[in-house]
Amino acid sequence: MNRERRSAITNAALATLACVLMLSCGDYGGDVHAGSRSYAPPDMAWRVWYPAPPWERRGADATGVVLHVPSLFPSMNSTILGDNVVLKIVSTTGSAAAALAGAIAGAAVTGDGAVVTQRPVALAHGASGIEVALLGPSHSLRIVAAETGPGRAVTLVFESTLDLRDDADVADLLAHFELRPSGP
Amino acid sequence: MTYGFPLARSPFRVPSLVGLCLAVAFDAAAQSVPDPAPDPAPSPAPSSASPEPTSSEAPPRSHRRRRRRRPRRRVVATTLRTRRRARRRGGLPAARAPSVVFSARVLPVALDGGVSPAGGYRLALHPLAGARGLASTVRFSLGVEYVLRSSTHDRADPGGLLHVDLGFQRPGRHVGWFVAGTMDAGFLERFTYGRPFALGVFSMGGEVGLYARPSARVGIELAAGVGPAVFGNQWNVLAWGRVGVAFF
Repeated sequence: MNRERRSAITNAALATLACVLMLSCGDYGGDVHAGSRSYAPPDMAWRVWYPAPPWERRGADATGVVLHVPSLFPSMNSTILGDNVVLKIVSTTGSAAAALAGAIAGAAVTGDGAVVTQRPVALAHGASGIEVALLGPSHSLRIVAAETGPGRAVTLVFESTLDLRDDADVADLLAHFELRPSGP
Repeated sequence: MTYGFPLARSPFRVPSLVGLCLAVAFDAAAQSVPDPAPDPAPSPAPSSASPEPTSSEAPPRSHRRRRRRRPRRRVVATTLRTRRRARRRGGLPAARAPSVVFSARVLPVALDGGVSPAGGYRLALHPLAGARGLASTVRFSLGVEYVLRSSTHDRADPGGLLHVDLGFQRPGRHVGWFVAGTMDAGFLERFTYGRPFALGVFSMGGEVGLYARPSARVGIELAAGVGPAVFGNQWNVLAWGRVGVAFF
């Protein structure tokens, strides 16, 4: 009898432990940043929240970070090998407009046939930036620039073989991009 | 009683000597055969107060007793054959749990900071539905479920789940109820940036419900449940309502 009772108590404890472990792993799906990871540079000038999956971090240094969404069929993407989307976030000096012009000049999608759209874009906590979308024959770019402080700016360059001009997932990621984050 | 030679109906209508001799011989032989035994229960003396008929055509009492109708056998619906017979006679069907249930449930799923409704369409089999005795009170079902979650940006995330539940049920002729623990495992496929990727899904919980059986074969099942679930690395507390068609 005692052995049976002990066994029942053990089973109940294990089941409770399994439930607690299951609930403690991960985060609640209703949280603002549920399913997302974050990255911020050492000076905490900005912070990006990216849902993982599908985003993965490829590399980071003191000035920025490179994120990408790997493709399931790498061989089919000839322009951006192995990635559906690549996001490069770089801290720069100067104004947001200068940073945006520099990013456009360095973009591969220029010249004839490129469709250029410029508009303001909403960032986290009511901040805003300037966005330029470029659609070329083979891939598209979305470039966003915002000021992080006096004489300092950040640029975000989305590059993809897909048409990202009106992509809502990009808009969601930008809506969670924080300038000068204060909280954890 | 004598048996006369049917001379008049014989083909020998013209009396002849041979025929006459034959007729005499047959008549003599017939008269030598003894009469059948008299009735062992002679009818009583005729009386005007007696309700029993006294004519010689009425069957004797012993014969009437032998021909009395046997009592109708009680049909106990324990096998499929007897159940069919009981149904033909207009009897009630036996208490039984559903064998197959096709149901749909609605549940909110929170992912990536947003809550979206999801629908699940489940086909579940109940192997113990036809069991008798104590096993008939065990609710055990195996099923598959197709899930469709309305995600953000006008997209729908499809998914598939394998379903098991185990619990107690009280089958009834017309209404039954159950309490069961449920477990689902599967995946939810999402599509972002032109790429599909799958999230593993695991959920467990409790469910209480009832089924109504207006006809012998088809009824409805209603249930409500609650329990935790994990979608990838995000967990939820799911609460759902479920309605389905049950086949008995």
